[in-house]
Amino acid sequence: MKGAVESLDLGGPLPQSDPPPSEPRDIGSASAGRARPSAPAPQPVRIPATERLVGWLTLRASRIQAWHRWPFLIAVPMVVGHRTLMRVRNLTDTQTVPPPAPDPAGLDVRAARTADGSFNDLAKPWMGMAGARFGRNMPLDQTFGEAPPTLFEPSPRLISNRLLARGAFQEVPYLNVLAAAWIQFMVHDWLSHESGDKTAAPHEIPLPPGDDWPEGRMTVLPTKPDRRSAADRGRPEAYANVETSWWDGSQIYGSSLERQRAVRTDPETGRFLTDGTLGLTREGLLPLAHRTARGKPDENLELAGVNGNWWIGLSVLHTLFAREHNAIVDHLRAAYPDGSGEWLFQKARLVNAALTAKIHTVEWTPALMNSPEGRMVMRGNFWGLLGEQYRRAFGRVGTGEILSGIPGSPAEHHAAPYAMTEEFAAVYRMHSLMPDAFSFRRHADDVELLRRDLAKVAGGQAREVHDRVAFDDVVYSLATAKPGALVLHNYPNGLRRLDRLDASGVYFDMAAIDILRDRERGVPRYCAFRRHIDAHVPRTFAELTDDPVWQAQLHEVYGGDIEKVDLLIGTLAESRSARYGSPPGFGFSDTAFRIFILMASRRLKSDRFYTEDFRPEIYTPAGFAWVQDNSLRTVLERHCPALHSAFADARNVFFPWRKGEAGTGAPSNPREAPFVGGSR
Amino acid sequence: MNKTLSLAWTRAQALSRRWDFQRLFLLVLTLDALCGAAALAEPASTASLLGLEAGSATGWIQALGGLLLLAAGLQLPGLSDPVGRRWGNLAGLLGRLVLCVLCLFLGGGFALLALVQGGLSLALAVLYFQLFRAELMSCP
Repeated sequence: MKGAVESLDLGGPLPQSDPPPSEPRDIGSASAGRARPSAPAPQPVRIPATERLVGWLTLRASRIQAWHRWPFLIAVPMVVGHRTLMRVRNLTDTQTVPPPAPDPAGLDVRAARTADGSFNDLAKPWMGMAGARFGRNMPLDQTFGEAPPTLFEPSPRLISNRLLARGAFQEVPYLNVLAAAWIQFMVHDWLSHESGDKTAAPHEIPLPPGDDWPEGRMTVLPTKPDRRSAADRGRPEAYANVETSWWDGSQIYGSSLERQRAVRTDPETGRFLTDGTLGLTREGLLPLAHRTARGKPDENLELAGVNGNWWIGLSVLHTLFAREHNAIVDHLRAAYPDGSGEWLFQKARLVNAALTAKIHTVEWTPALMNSPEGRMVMRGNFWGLLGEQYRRAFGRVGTGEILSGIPGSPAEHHAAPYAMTEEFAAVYRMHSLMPDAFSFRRHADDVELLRRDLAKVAGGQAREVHDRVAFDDVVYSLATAKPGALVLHNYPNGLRRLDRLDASGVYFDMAAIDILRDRERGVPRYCAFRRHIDAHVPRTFAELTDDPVWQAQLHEVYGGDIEKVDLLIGTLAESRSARYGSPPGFGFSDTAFRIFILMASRRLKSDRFYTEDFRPEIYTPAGFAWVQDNSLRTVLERHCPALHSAFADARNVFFPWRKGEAGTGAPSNPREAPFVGGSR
Repeated sequence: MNKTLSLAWTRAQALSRRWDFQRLFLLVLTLDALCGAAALAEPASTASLLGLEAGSATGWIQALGGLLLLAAGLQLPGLSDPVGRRWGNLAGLLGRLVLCVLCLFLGGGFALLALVQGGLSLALAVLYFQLFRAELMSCP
């Protein structure tokens, strides 16, 4: 039941029990004295009448208690209601002058994804393409970046030292490290900011007294803003996304034709692979690029569409899905022997990207939202209330999302053209998931083969791990290890003093940079952020977290001003708040979840290839069936069959796998490991 | 490994919940069928049990018996596959609730029927919800 087009007012912002401060963005003096930006004409939002009603009821129920404190039958519709409200209020367009969409050069844009993401929306071909701007989930006048001195208040380094530094490793008992790798694998598909602006004066982060930071000085390049035009006058800085914003596998295939050609090159001959496959070595590993996609040299760094911030977890997932691409090509070639190599590549890309989207929606996210409500919401996003079995047997019922899920429903961008958002990037700062040390073990008997810290499995050194440990054993090792919990005092120390230029004495503190970037890019601080997503806004540190030690530490670092708490810190602190914080069974905060439910749905709902063109005519019947029939479990069964017994009893392959038993296995050698992942 | 993360354990839980539901559902459908058969075969006795005048209500009672038998038959697929045929089962639960309310309004001997139907519907709904949650938590 698609309602008529209308501008929707669902009753104004949710009243809080505490009155908001007169001007929350006073924190950022950069906003002071600036003209209020002229808001672009809002796009009319199409919301079915039933969902409007659910949104209205959700607003009322939220005033009583948070959605996750209601019983299941109320909580699930409330999640839908929050999403409806956010589709109306929390999508802001920043693109004043759309970038020109290049000529697709003979590619059938109706039936295939372009390399740079253009022509997904045929009416606005620039939408979501590489180089388009990040959008916002906040009103534009709340997104002016902070400037000194408030940019450094309190010092990001102080926060890193006092609130983030990892003491004892706090693990998530029900997840494995593949789950941590997966989210970075996905984020690389969706977004990346430009490199730091070398022409601007660097930020100089104040060091707290007694800090042992090398050379006694911490400088960070500012984020490079997108070029401004006259239409940007009075508006905050906007930043370009250098990857495509679509869920199109661009981390595998790249966001440019040039990068796409590179990953489609045979590493042995250096020739373009005309059969539609991706280049892999004889051992089934990724080719070596020796440099990042941005040109930074890194010996033995592997080649992928996006290979920045590389580590062994990313290497494993990229390898698996490059193999999967080639397996899909083989399958399609068998079904359609007349298809050209280019046609096979394009169809396999569609299928491979859709498979990752499905895995993320119905496997990864439910693993982190390990509750009936979380599972219902995510499965509902993909298959609707009628469920997978009904959908596969009878197809869709109507065009709505509720009964039959988003895939196959009409595309809809709601209040703004599709783009990843700064706020989404901010709530996906999940570095605490990373362990500081890795133990590589043999899957047959769980004997340790190699032990390395985080820095020694990153960049080109990830390949050294493959050289010493068989691929299956690397997968097994990551799948039996547990990631860090998203809580305070659990940020990997390896990332807090990261030598980015290989022992040349140039260090970064990623924790401090995470804090700085949110402030610099105008992401509202925690309380202001919550105020804009209809979530309860804590009035005291005791309302933010139940942990009295944390309360005292937060009070001290933020000088007693709860409004100054940074978004990242607030989301980590609320992990210990039963009343307003992380929902039971969730591995991340309620604040992040609100953005996820909006953006996870949007990644599907805006994309033509997951909505009106999610059909066998576009994917091919064999390709469409591949998406339906497969999951990460089947991907692992196909490419790592020897590991089957380790994950056979894991309900979700992102849960920890069963460990091998001592004395039962034969030694494995990386050079002898069989490669079974289809053609190279 | 935490047993709630185990596929075998969660599937066993779901199976156990399924048997609980199926046992009660079988009992309820059998009762429905017996009542329907009794109403068809002995409309006068049934009318008297419900506190109605036998002469005028016989036809209605037989029609009700036929409907009960038909409804029980239509719910058999939901008995054999309660998860796959969930929409039929949800409609059946809703139908029982409506019947319960109707019987309450009719009063007299129907009030007893409403009480029995209401109790059984509630028990079925609780077990069905438990089955639903267990099935959901046995998924990835």
